[in-house]
This record gives sequence, structure tokens and C-alpha cells, in this order.
Amino acid sequence: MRLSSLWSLSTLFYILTALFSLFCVYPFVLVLTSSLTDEVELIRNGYSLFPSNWSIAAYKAIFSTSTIPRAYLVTIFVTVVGTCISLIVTSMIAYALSGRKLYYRNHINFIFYFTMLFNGGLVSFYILVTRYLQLTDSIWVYIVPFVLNPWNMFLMRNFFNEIPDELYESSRLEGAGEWRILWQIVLPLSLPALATIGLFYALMYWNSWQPALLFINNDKLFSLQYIIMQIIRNIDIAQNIAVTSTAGSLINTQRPPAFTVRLATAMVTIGPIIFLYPFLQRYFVGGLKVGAIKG
Amino acid sequence: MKKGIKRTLALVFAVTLMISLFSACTGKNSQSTPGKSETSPASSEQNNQSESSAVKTPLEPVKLEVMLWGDKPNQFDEIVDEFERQTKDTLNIDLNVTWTPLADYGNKIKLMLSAGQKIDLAFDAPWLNMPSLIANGSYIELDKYFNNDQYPGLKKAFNESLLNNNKFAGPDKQQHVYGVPLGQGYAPVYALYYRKDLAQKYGISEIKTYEDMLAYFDAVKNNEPGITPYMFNKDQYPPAWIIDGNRAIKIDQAKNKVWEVSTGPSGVAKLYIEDNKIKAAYLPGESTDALKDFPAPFNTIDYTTNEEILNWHEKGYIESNAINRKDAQDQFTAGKGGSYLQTLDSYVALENALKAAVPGSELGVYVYENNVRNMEPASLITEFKFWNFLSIPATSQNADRSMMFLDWIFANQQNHDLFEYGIEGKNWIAVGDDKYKLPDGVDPGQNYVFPGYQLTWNPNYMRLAEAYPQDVVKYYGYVAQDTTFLKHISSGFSFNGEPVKNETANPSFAKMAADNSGFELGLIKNVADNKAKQEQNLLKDKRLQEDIQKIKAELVQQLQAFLDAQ
Repeated sequence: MRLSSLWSLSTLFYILTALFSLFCVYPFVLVLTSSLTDEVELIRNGYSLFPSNWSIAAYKAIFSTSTIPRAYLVTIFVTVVGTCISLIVTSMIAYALSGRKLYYRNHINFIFYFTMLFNGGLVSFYILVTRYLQLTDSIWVYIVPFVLNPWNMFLMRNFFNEIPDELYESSRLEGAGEWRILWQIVLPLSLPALATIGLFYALMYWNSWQPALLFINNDKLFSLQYIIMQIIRNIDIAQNIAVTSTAGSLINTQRPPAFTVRLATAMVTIGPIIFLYPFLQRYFVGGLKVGAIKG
Repeated sequence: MKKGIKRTLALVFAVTLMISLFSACTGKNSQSTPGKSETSPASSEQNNQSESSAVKTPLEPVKLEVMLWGDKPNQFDEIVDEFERQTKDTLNIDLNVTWTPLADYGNKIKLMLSAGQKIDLAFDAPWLNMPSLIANGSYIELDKYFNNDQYPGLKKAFNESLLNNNKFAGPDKQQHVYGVPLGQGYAPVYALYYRKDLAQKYGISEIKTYEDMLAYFDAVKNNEPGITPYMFNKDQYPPAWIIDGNRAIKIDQAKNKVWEVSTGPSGVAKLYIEDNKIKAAYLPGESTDALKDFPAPFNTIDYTTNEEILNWHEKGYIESNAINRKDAQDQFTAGKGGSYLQTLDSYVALENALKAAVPGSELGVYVYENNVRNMEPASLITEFKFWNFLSIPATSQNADRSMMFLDWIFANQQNHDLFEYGIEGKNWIAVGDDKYKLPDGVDPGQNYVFPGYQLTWNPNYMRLAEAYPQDVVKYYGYVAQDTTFLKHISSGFSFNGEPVKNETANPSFAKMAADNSGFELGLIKNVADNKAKQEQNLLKDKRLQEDIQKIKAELVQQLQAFLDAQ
């Protein structure tokens, strides 16, 4: 009796979870099919899973200019290079702050922690980046101001602290220096942490659009997310302002792009991440307990 | 030995770190400190004198940073290249335009100016940052560039009265020109676009009166189930416009010396002004006792419009809940709306979109404001103000060259049309002096479409698209005449909200607006009762009442001072 009730309970859970995941996936599928419908049909009949008129005009419109492919290149470069640099710098700092050997390490820890609580505000950040770092209109503006995230650094430091002291002692006895210990012992042991932190950084770089808004004027250096941001913000304004021209123009100026183009842009932007997630998923789940209790 | 090497290496790293810290301080090509507003007029004066004698010799190349908003137009780079090619020997300007989404534009300009970035020309407007940036001295005065023979283009395009109506009070409390005013007319003509094919199907040949329009709505409501008789976006053209327009409320008020002046987020005040003296004032939210000194019938609040909207809602002329509607225009052109309100200039765009989506359809136009439809004089109230300006920040070092660039644009029709319409023959074809059309085979979606209200709009250089039908064209002549307009008594005045900015920030004002939207959409029955209840609740809010009195007092004081100075 017990077994069968357990069995039916687990069936129930399976069904509930399946339903829930279907609900989660439904909007995404809707966006996908709607981006493939004909524009007028979309306005008339709204979103539907099985539209009667299919059309790939939106995708054609997107790829007709080189804006999206170029933005792809920019974003991929920023993500790959940025993640590498961030990982190197973060692990070096975390290693130095781990253990009990660094003098004044509590004060240094506090300084890092303090920056998580307070910052100088937008104006001082802007002045720093444009006047002192001279990063305007450069692709490095996506990377350099964001290389180190203190939260990730603390996470890594806690992970390094969990590596048994005996390992350090024995390697030092063998005559290994700090660099060797870091590169050849600690990092290979911390692959879960590196994967998790790397994923956090990669997500941050992939989604970054604020540097583009503030510092970049050259439209060849816009990131993918910024292109979408622009479309969305321009649409809202275009629908709300009253453009009163007595002479007029043949087309209403600043008409927003078609609904289908917006949907297609959204699909194109999230596409790669969707395909990457399943492969990195186990690191995500496993890595979340990185830096938690020992063992 | 190893330890020594390690120590040296560590030392080297430490020193590198320190050097990288200090290198940030020196910086390479150090950008000079932002010019204070005192120095830049002085230096530009020197420039002016030396340039006035050297205007014939080629000028030094200069890079102008221009900030505009919106999407970058297609083919814009080609237009800029063509401009630079044409003016290589005369202006020698390297034009660099940055396009930012409007939602971020206001903040980005403020950020860049406070960080001392050098911007040469920036779009700005009274509805954007102009009041605050003028007050803190961020923009320079442009008076000396106008009516100046050294800038003949500007002199030609901007006459005295236009400039006088578009001046702002500066930090010295005097009126100055703080931006080049960009506009094509003082007020637009709004019209109700409807489906003529549907009207004719149900026996209405053409909508000529308010009753015709209601009959059309009825016909659509009863016979076409999928079509909403009147389609509108919540924040754009509510039914109140049509109803009020038909009753010509604003003109009636103006003829009885009752004027409406906006105080910004705290609402639109009504004032009774006789012989340039403010006799009474009323700000929405306060007790209606404040209205008792107004001339009848304006001494009570009149709910007829709200009742009519409710009537429309109950009859089904408008959607049951339009609160989330954002795409009314697209719905109308896709055939889901029976009518839609828009300015006359959208005629061609709407017709093209409608014909493409709904075969057999025809666009009809009904100008719902009776006086305007009959083209009577003194039918449109205006302050003769434009809404878009180009300003020069004080941090710019190329004020003269920027004005020379604008002078070039407004010097003649040809220069103007390059930026406004594109390269002639490729993006547009001239039809006579004042009309244009698209060349054959040009895809409108990929063609150059420039937001003229940011750089080029001017009443002297206007072209009409050839495709406008005659009964629309006649209204353009109508609005080009000054006699069409009734001058608002507060022309030239803009309320400076700084002294009462704490009061205007009272969240009750926003709450009031949100509550009123229920009435605007016809969602609330028993209008008179509910309005009375609303008034009761507002009167109970002591803080709001105090703030209203303060704002009202400030407005009356500023406006009276302005009127006395006339």
C-alpha cells in the first residue's frame, strides 16, 4: 500500500512539474512563433501559437543591415575577453586574501566590502571613466570598469579557504612558491568555483548595456543588449509624443519598427544564451553551494 | 638565490601597481578644464572679431559635437558626408552627431554637462531640461547671432516677433534667446480620420457635423462587431478632445477672459484676467469656491464633457477599457478601428498603411473643431511658442562655428532641404517650390527620414508632400496666416517652478491625475456624485490644500509681474 501511494504521489509531482515547466516555456514559444508571423496578421489577431500567415520578413529586416551581426561580435568579444580577465584578477585577489598569512588582511577585506555598500554616484563614475581613464568610444569601456566584482571575489576566497591547509603546507615543504601554488594546485582544485564565478561574470558582460548608453557614441561599438534597449525606449516615445508638423512628411517620422521586428530582435539576442544554459547548468547548481559549509 | 629573485619580482609587481595608479592621474592628451560661462563669451567675442575680418580665408577645421535624440536615420552618414563635401572650403566642419533614446536623453545631457564634456549643439526644450539648465547657467545667450548681418541665414529665417515669443528668462531675470526655435507652425490641426468606405456603406456620405460622427459611430457599433468605433491611446487623444473641440470650450473661455496656464506637474490653472490684472485663480484640487469670482458660466465646474464620455462608453463607441492601449494607430490602419484622431499631416502615412492592410478601404477626414473646420479667424489659441530648440552649452568652445553651421542650413532652401529631406534625386524629388515626392522605386522604410524638429524646421522653408488631397492642403494655408490664431495672454511667460518645487512634488497631484483618468475613459458612472466625492477627499487633504495655495500664489505673483511688464 505504501509503495503505491508513494508511486501515485510521485506521478502527481511529475505532472505538476511538467505543467509548471510548460507554463514557463510557453511565453518563449509564443515569442518565437509571433516573430515568424506576418505583420498585419499580428496586429489584427494578436499573438498565437499557430498563426495562419507565416513570414520571415522580420528576420530579413534585421539581418539586412550589419547592425546585429556587428553587435554580436562586440558582445562576444566583451564576454570572452572580459570573463578571462575577470577570472584571472579575481582569483589572484581571492588567493591573496585567503588563508591567514597576509598582514592587514582584515583591513583590506573591509575596503573591498565597503565598495559593495557605497559608491561615488553616477557623476563621479562618469568623470572617472571619461576624463581619467579616457575610455569613451572604446570597446574596453565594457570591461575595464567592471573587471572585479567584490561579491564574486569573496565567494572565491571562501572557496579557497576550504582547501585543506595540509595541501598548502606540503607544497610549501616541497619548495613551491605562491605563484606555483596558485596556478598548479589551487586553481585546478577550484574548477567548480571558477565555472560558477565565470558564469556570473559572463552573464554580467553579456547583458551589459549601460556603458554603451553613457560612454559610446560610435554605433559600431554598440552591444546587443543596447540595441534592444534602444528599440524599446524609442518605441515608447514614438508612440507617445505628438509630432505636430504642419507640412508633414510622407512617412510619420520615428514610426516604431514593426512588432515582428521587435520580437525577432528579442529572439536573436537571447538565442545563444538559451543554448548555452543546458550545458553549464550543472556547474550553476553545483556551484551555488560554493563557499558554503565545508565538505 | 631563489628567494632573492622572488623578492625582486614581488617588488617589481608592487611598483607596477603603484605606477598604474599614478598614470591615471596624469593622463595623455589632457582635456582642458571646462570653460566657465564667464570666459566663453569673452573668447567667442575675440573669435568673432578676428573672424569678421578673416571670413573669406578658409577656416580651421573644427569638430562639432551635436547631441540629438531618437534613432539614427537611415543614410544619415551619407547626408553628413555630402554636407561636408559641399562646405569643405567654406565651413570646414567635421560634424559628429550622437543619437540617444529620448528616455535617456535628458539625463545624459545633464550628466555630460555636469562632468564638463564639450558639447557644441544640443537639442533641448521647455518640456525637457531647458528651465533648469538655463537657470544654472549651462546654456549661453544667443541674442547676438540674430538680426546680425554676419549671419544672413539666421536673419532671414527668424524674424523679430518669432524670437521675442521664444525667449526665456535667464539668471539675470532678463529675457534672452537661449535656443534656436525650431517649428513649422504655431498649432497643428487635429482631425478625426475615419473609414469613408464604411460610412458610405451605412448611408453616411461624409461626416460634416458632430451628429454625423455619432451616427457613424452607431452604424459601426451595430453592424461591424470586430471594429471599435473610436480607437485611442490612453495618454494620447482621449474622447474629451473631440467633445471639447466640438463645444469650442477653450475659445469660449478665452473670449470671456478666462485663460489656462500650466504649472507643470501640479496641473493647469484657470485664471480670470481683466485689463492685465488677475482677478481670480483656480488650481484643480482646491475647493470650487475659488471659482466664484469667475464670469458665468465658468464659475461652476461643468461635468458635461465627462457625462458625454460616459455616454460614449455606455453606447460602446470606445473600448470598455482603453487603459493599456498603446497601438491605436496600428489598430486603425489594420482595420480594427473605425476612427482615429491624429494631426492632419499624418494623412498620407495613414492612407498608405490603411490601403496596404485593408483592401477597398478609403480614408475620410473630419476636422472636429467647428471653427477650424470652417476656417474662421481667431480659432486656435497659441502662445506663438515653439516646442523644440537647439541650445549651445557654456562648455562649448565652438559657439561661433556652430551658429555658422546653423546659418548655413537656414541660408536657402537648398541647404535646408539637404538635411530635412536628403539628397535630391535620390531621397526625394522637388515638385515646384513647395512640394515634393518620393522617387520611383524607393522603399519608404529604408529611405532617409530626418526628425526636422531637432535641427531644420522653420516656417519659411516648408515643403508639402505632393500626395495630399486638396481639402487637406487648404488647411495649411489657413494655419500659415497669423489671423487664424488667438494670442494667449501669457505668451512669452513660462512658469518657473523652482521656488515651489517642494510643493509641486506633492504626490497627491499624481494621484489626482490617476483618479481623473477613470473619468476620462468613461469607466466611472454617476459622474456628478463621484466627482463631488473626489472633491471632498481632496479637500480633506490639508497638506495638498496648503501646497495648492502656495503654488497658486507663486503663479499669480509671477504672472502678474509678467503682465505688468507688458
